[in-house]
Amino acid sequence: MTPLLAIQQVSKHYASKTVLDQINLDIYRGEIIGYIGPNGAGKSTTVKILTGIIQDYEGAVYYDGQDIRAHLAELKQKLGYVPELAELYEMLTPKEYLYFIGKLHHMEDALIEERMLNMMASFDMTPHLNERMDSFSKGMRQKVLLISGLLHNPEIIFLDEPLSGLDANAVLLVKELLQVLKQQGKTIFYCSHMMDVVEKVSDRIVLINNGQLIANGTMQELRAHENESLETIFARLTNASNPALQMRSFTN
Amino acid sequence: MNRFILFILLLPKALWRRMGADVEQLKAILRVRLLLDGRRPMGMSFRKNQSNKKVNTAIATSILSFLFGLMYLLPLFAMEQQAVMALAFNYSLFLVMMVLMLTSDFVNVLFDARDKYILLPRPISSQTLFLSKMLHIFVYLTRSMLPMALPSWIVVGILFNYKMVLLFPLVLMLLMALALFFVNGIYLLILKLMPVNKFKDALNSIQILFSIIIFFSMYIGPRLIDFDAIEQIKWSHFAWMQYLPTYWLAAIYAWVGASSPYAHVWLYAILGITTPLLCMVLITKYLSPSFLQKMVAIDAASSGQANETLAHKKQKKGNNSSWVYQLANLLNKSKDAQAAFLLTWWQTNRSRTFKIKVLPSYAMMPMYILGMFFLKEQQSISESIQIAIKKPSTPLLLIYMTSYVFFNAITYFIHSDAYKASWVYYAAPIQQPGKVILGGLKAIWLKYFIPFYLIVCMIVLSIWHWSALPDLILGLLHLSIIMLVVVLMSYRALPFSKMESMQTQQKKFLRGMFALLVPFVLGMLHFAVHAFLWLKIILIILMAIAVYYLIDSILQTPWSLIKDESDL
Repeated sequence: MTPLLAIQQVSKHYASKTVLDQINLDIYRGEIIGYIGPNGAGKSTTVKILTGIIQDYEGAVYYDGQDIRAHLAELKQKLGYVPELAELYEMLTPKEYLYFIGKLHHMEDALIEERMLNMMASFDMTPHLNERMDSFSKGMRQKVLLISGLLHNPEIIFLDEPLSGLDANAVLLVKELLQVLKQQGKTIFYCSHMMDVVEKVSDRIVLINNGQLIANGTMQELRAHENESLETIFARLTNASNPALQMRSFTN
Repeated sequence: MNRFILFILLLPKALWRRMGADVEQLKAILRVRLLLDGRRPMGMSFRKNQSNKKVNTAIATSILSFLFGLMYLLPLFAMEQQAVMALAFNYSLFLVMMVLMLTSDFVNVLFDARDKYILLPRPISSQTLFLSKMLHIFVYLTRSMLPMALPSWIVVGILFNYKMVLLFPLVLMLLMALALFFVNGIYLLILKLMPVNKFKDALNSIQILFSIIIFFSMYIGPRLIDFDAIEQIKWSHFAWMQYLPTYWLAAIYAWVGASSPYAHVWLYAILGITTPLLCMVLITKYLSPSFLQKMVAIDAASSGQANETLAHKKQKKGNNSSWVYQLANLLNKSKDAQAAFLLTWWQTNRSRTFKIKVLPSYAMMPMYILGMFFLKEQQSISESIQIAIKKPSTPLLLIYMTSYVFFNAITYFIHSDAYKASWVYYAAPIQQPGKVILGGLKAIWLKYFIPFYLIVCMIVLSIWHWSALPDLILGLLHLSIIMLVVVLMSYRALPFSKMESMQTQQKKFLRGMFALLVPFVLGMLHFAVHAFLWLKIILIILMAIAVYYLIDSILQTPWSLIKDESDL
């Protein structure tokens, strides 16, 4: 099977620091990839390369067999991106912001209107459609951000900590949304530190540490023994020291 | 330096304790606030400015303040013989300026959103917190006011005597205390008259008004003042001044040897010293607790922590107006340009920074026109108008002066406090960023230039009739060229995608100055062909072609020229 997204020998350096070191990864259509790693491991840089925001890297990324650097606008039309802690033009209302985003994705006004209203309603946000976002809570902004990433019906969706700031009900909604998107054949690249969610929603888990991929497989494949949680796998593979010991010295 | 300031601020420890403050906490809070000020240099205000060129910023601000302070010398020279009265006027000017500065800037200190997370959860009394804010703003005022007060400080030494030189800093400090009291009064009044969530909007309006007053007083004010008349002023005309705190402060001077028209001048002097101190005690001890409660409410209203009742008040039903969408679709073929047009239209409606920077220039323009044409010495207004109408250059001057109004709008349509939100441009499938720039530019052109130009057209046509029509068309083309050239040279960036900093301002300054040559050259060219209709028609055709090519240059802007500052 041809991968939808093929990452081949991708490296990225900032001055003398290597952030990504010869990454190789294939992502197939309809998959949910859980992309995890410690802080500063290179997760966000990977996402920025895959979404075409960073273009000065070594190696190549192919989308449907085409080098993304040569077909950036085409790729961006097909992908949805929800960055972590992203800012919005919060002086606008969700309706105005989503119109702005929809137009940047070359959508017709009627289609923007229809999809925006449906999505806002799904997130219980309809009453806030015409309120300025500077009065919104973190969770409400995150919902608008999620809608803006999905408004143009992308084929592949990059979610960087999408549950940030969401309440328990909204988290359930997003988990459900991921399943619906999967059923629709969407490919999802899911970055998060919330291991329990990643464990539950991902078909395959990719672990990055110090700019290198150190694990890539299903939960079953990654487990050293039965019932090992993703949290434990993460600690084992990233060589984290014993948290109990660490915290004992903290309080002493 | 900070250590010295802190040492001075904490000298009256006993007084701060009596006011209910915890001195150790006060010291800790002030130390951090002063440290942050040093790391995040301030311009004329406490608004965020993350430039690295803090020394340049401080010097530029000081020079500007010094120049501004020269205006305050006017009463000192004009009423030299009436020392107390002259000082009272001089102090009044300082007080008004401080109140205006504080009304707009103090809010950023008083309602610092970070306090909610860092200070409010700690065991800090409202008195300590409030006093820390007061002393912080006191330092800010001293820093801003010292260069402004320097000319007056020197002149009182020359005009009056050396004792006054020694007294001046004390008076300045007392004036600051008074200003703080008045500003608190203004805030309380606004809070009483308006709902909490409207508080910041009301302050925005005050800030805009403040900018207009500054422009007016710097550029137009001196033209309007009749200096001869000021010299004839008698103190008896201003008997009411004796009831003002600034007069009481001026009366302190009488203690060191000046004459005063009023008896019991010593009583005024005592009032002058005690009133500001009493005001400080009053606001710290009695007003601060209720103030801090409202501060939390205001912060909640603006930061999104608010409950339903506060949040829904920000609702803007007006933005449903479909005509803006239709206008965007009508004027822009591509979706990218439509998006930028809409964003620019909405952001310019609501961005506080944009309004503060741009709107005063619209108020200033009519004042300039008045000043240039109609407020000449030894002429009545009707005579001035008659003379102006006869000059062939007058309609051209009117036309080209409108270029000033869109310079500011162009500058601030690429800058924004929310520049980090511009990440969407880089994630979206935009092939030609030039389309986005042009879409935003069209919104600016239509919103901030065309209405002004239409007014000028109406004035010109009503005075010079249809014969001026070719000039208006040529002027419109020239002004469009000016705008496009300025954008190409200095502001080729996506709408609201740049952080404003001294560094970028300095970089653009020289290019901007060069770009300013364009209106001059085109204006001279227009003036040269002014008498020849056929030449004007040829120029109109040539300039229309130039406009087309300039628009095309903007459209062809490659991504490589666009710098991502979104930090995503």
